[in-house]
Amino acid sequence: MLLTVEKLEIAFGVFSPVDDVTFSIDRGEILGIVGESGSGKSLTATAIMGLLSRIGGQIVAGRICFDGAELVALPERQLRRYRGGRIALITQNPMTSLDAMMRVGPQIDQAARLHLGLDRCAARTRSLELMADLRIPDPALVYGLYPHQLSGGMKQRIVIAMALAGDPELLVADEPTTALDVTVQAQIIQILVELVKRRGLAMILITHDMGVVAQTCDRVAVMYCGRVIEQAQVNAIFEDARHPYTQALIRCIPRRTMTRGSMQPIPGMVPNVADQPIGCRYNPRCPRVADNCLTEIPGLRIDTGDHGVACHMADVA
Amino acid sequence: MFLFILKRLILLVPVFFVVSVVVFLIIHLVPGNPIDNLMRAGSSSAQRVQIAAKYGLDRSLAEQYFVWMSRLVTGDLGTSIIQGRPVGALIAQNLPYSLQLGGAALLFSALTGITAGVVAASFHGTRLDDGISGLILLGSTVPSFWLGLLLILIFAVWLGWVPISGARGWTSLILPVIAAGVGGIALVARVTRIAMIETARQDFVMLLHAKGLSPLVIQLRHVLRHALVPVVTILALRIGWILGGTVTIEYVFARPGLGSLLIRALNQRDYPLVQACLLMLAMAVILGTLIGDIVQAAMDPRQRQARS
Amino acid sequence: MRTVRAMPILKAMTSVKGSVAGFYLLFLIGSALFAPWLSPYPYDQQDLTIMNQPPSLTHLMGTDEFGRDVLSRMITGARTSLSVSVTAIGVSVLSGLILGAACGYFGGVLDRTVMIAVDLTWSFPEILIALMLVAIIGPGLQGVVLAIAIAYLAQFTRLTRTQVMVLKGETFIEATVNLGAGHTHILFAHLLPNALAPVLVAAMLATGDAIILEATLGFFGLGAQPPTPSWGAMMSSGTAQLFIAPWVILLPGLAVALTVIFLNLFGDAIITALDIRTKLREA
Repeated sequence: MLLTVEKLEIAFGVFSPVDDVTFSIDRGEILGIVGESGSGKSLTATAIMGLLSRIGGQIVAGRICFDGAELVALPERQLRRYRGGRIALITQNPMTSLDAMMRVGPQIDQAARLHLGLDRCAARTRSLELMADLRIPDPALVYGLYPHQLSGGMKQRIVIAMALAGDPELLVADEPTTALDVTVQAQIIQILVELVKRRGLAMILITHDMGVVAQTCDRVAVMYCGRVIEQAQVNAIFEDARHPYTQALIRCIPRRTMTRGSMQPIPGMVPNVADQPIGCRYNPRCPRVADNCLTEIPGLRIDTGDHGVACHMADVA
Repeated sequence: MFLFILKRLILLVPVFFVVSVVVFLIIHLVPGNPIDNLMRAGSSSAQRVQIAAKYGLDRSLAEQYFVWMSRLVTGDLGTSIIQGRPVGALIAQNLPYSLQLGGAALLFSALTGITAGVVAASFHGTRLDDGISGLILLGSTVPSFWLGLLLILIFAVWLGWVPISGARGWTSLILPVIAAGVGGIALVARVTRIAMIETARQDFVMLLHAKGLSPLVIQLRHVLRHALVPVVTILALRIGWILGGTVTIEYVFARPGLGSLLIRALNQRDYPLVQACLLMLAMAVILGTLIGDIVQAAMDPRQRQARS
Repeated sequence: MRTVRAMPILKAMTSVKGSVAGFYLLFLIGSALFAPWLSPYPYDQQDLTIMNQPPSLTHLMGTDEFGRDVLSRMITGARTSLSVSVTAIGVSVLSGLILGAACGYFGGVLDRTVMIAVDLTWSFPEILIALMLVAIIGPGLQGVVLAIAIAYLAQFTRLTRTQVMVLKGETFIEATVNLGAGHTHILFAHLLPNALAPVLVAAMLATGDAIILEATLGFFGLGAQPPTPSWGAMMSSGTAQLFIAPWVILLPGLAVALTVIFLNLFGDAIITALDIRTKLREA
C-alpha cells in the first residue's frame, strides 16, 4: 500500500471532528471519500498533507503511513519534502487558490524547482509541457498571465499543473470541481482520471457527489460526523450498501428514470461537532435504531470481501 | 498606466484649488486689516499704498486671489515682513533640508515598520508578537517632540555621540530621523502585521504550504507582497502625517527647514511666510498622496489592468 | 437604564489592563479637578533663590527656571491639558455626530459635498490643519480648542456616517419608517443612539491624540500663554534648561505619554467589552 491511514483522530481544542478514520490506497488507484459538509473529509485531507497545525488542529491518535514512512511523527522540515514532492494537494476553490499577484507560470515552476532541483529554465519547460498535457490552449501565452485573467476551469487546470509539477505519487483532490460550472466539472474530472491511469498515480478524491464517485473511483470510503461508516469497492457500495446512511446517499443520486417527487432526501441535519449524539452518531436520522445504537459507537468491521461497515444493525437488515 | 496618472493629476486640480483658496484666505480671516498683516508695524503710509496696490487689496476677493495666484505661478511669493527677504528665496533655502529629513524619515519608518510588522505577524500569538505590539503602542503614544528632546538628552548631551542640533553632516540627521519616524513606524508596523495575518489565512497560502515551500519564502515572497498593498495605501494616505511630524522635529532640533520656518513665522505673525510654508507643505502632502496612489496601482496586477 | 449604560465601563475595568488604565485615568481626572487643593504650592509662585533645583523632599519634582514648583505646575497643567483636549474632542464629536448623521441619513448633494471636504482634510496631518487654524485664529487656548476640534472633525463625521448608513438599511429602522415616524424621530431616537458606542470609543482614543496635539502646539508656544501651565507649555519654556534641568521637560512629556497609553489601553478594553472592533475597522 502506498498510503495507509489508521485510526486517525484529529482534535481542535476539546473537540474531535475526526475520529477513528481508517483507509488505505495503492498506486494506480482512486479512492473516493464521500460525505456531507462537516463530515471531516477535508480535515482528513489536511492531515495527510501535514497542514493541520496551520489551521489550529492536531493529530492526537492514529497513524498516517506513506510508502513505509510514518508521517505523523515526522518533523516539519522533513514533512516539507513530502508536501508537493510526493504528496500533492488540489484544492476546492481555484478562484482563491492561486497567488493573485504572481503570474501563473512561475507558480507552477515553484514545486519543480524545489523538489526536482530544476533551474528556472528547465522548470519553465516542464511547466509548459504539463500545461499542454492538461489541454491548456497556448501554454506559452497562459504562462505569463495573472490568475484574474483566466477562467475558473483554466485556473483549476493551473492548480492541477501546480500539483503535478513536483512529480508526486499521491494526489489529494479536495472537492476539485465544486466551485466550477457543471460543464467544466466533467472535463476536470476526466483530466484527473486520465492522469492517474496514465502516470500510475494514486488519488484520493474527496467529494459529496455519489455520481462522480460511481464514474471514477475504484474504492469508496463514506464518512459521517468524522468517522468512516462504510468502505468497499465501488461496485460493492452501489450494489450492496450496508449502512443506512450510504443507502440513503445512493437514493439521493438523481436518475433519468425518476419521476417528479420521487427523490428522497435524508431527514434531519448533520449534528454539530460540539453536540454529537451519544452512541452511533447517525442514530437521530436512522430508520432502524436498536438499543445499543443509542449507547455504543459501532466500530468498522471488515468482512472477507474487504467490505467494511460500522453499523450494529448491518447484519440484521 | 499613463492614462491613470493623467487622470489622478486632473483630479488634483480641484484639491489644489481649494487648498490654495484656504491658504489665500488666511490673511483675510485673521482679525484686523489685511494690509496691517502684510506689513511691519509702524510702516509709512506710502508703503501702505504700495502694498495695497501690489496685492490689489482695494479690489474684490476673487480678483485679489487671481493676482496672488498669478504671482505665485511666476514664483513671487511675496516678501517676509520680519526678515524683509523674498519669501521664495527663504523657501528655496529651507526646502532641501525638509525634503532630506522627510524623505529619510519616511524611508526609515517604512523599512523599520514593515520589518517589525513581518516579524510580529510571523510569530503571531507569541511573546515576541506581544513585545513588538507593545512597542508599537508605545511609539504611537509618545509625542514626537518629546522623544526628540529625550534623544538629544541621552545621545547628544550625556553620551555625546552625535551633534545636539543643526544640520551639519549626516550624523546630525540620525536623531531627527528616529524621532520623526517613530510615529510612522508604529503605523506601518500595525498595518503590516494585521495585513500579513489576514493574508496568511487565505486559501492560496495553504496551497503554497502544500507545495512544500518553506514558511520563510511564503511569508516574504507571497504574503508580504499581498500585505504591502494596504501598507502602501495607508502610507499614501498618511504620507502627509509623517511629513507633518518633521515640522515639529525641525523645530526641536533647530534644523533649518519649512517646519521651523513656519513655526517662527507663526510666532512672529509673518503672514506671507506662513502662507507660503503652508502651501508648500500642503503641496508636499498632495504630491506624496499621488505618488503613493501610483505605486499602489503599479503593485497590484489586478488594478494595473483595470486602470491602464 | 443607567446601570446598563455604565456596564461596558465596569466590564472594561474587570480586565487587568482595563482596571490599571481606569484607575490611572480616575486619578488624573481627580487631580485635575482638585488641582488648587492638591498642589503643594501655588503654580505661579516664583522664588528665584531656588531656580532649577532637582527633585527633593520639599519639591518632589524639582523647580523650574523661575523657581516654581514643578509638581504644582504638573497638577495644574493636567487641568489645562485635559480640559482643552476633552473640550475640543467634545465639540468635534458633537459636530461630527450631527454632520455625519445628516450625511448618512439624507445622502445626496449634502453628503457628497461634506465627504469631499472630509476626504480633503483626511490626507492632511492634524498638526498641519491645527497650525493653519492657529494661524487664522491666533495663539491661545481658544484657538487650540477650535483647531483640535476641526482637525478631528473629519474622523467623527466619517465614522458616524458609516454607522448611520449601515443602520439605515436594517429592518427595525425600515419598520419605524413604515410606522410613519418623522426624520428627526428616527435620527435622534433610533439611529444616533445605536451609532454612539463606536463614536464614543473613537473619541476616547482621539482624546489621547488631542493631548499630544495640545502639547505640541503648547510646545511651539501657540497654546496656553504664560504663566498658565499646560504640559506642552511647560516643555516649551523648559527647552532652554534641557541641559541643566531636564526634569522640567521629561516629567510633563512622561505624563503625556502615560496618559495617552492608558487612554489607549482603556479604549481597547472598552472595545473588547462592547465587542465593536469590526465596526471601528469598517470606518
